[in-house]
Amino acid sequence: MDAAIEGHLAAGRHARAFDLIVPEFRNRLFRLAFSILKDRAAAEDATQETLVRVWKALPGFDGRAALGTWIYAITRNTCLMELRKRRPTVSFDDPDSTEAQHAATSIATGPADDPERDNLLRLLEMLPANQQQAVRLFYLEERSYDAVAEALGMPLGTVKNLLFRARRRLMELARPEEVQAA
Amino acid sequence: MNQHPHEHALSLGPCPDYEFDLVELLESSLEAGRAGAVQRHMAQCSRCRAYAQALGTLDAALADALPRPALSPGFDARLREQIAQLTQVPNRTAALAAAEREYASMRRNLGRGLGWRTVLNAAALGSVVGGVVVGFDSVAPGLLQSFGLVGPGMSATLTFSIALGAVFAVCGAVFARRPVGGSILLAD
Ligand SMILES: [Zn+2]
Repeated sequence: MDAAIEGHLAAGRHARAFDLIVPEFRNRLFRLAFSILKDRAAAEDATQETLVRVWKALPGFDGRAALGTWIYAITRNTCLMELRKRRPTVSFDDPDSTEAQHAATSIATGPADDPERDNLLRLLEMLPANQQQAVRLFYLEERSYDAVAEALGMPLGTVKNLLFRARRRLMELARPEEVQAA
Repeated sequence: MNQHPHEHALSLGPCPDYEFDLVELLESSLEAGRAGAVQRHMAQCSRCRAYAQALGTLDAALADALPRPALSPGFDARLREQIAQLTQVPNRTAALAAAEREYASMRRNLGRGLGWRTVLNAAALGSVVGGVVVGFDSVAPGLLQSFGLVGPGMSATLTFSIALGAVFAVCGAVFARRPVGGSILLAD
């Protein structure tokens, strides 16, 4: 599929390439956007905006970066702009900023009658934004480190380390009395 | 104090040398030789066993708790609509620009016909004629009177008339030659 897209791009058939890009990428972009924005409607809007930006920029795409790398970067950028719109003072220069999590809207919750589930999601919200995002995306991508690394534009080892720290922290948060005693 | 042995082991955490490997063992991504070594260690270490079990529980709980939303069915149609609107914009812009050019050209032509240049040209011509007439009168007073162009009682105002006529003539000539561009006429 990627080869077909690249073939169209190389021949300057941008509209044909775009017709293949949409079904190939839309769900992956949506999952990435949801892991950042934590809101279904906002993630869908960001996915649409991303694809519109891709459509506009496609004639200028020089192929130096992989197509996926380029499109994911546009998605992350679109989502960060959306977060900035929600809260202009948030700094994303620090990837560990826990402030970013406050900028996002409340998580999409499921059945309200599951206190254990609610508690786990509440604990997740206490993690630094980049750890939260990695955890959400990891499970959205059916536990694929490679998919998370590609979407976040990070080396595989960085993603593994991020998830490792997130899970360790979640286990600590789940039993605060032992952590305080230690 | 009254902790279950399993909980006590968990609170101590895993052995640092095995912590990362326990995650990879859970995900079945650990290299076979190392996996065997970790499993042999776990058989003897309650802390690492408890940690591995807690990891598995957390993993299942996260997989169960985290939402997995999907794009709405109308997504593609909405996207196509937005792209279609974008492709129409250049045509609209071009049409608007063409209309504006036509309007500007029309105004420029109208300005040339009825604008300042016409008025200034007329003023200059009038001033030059007036200046010549008055000037002739000062040089040869009888000449114009003999043609009936200047009345006999006008000699008292001749000096003032000559000066006024000369000023009009100079101003008229200058303004008539200065190019009065469309940019001035069209300035809104
Ligand atoms: Zn151990």
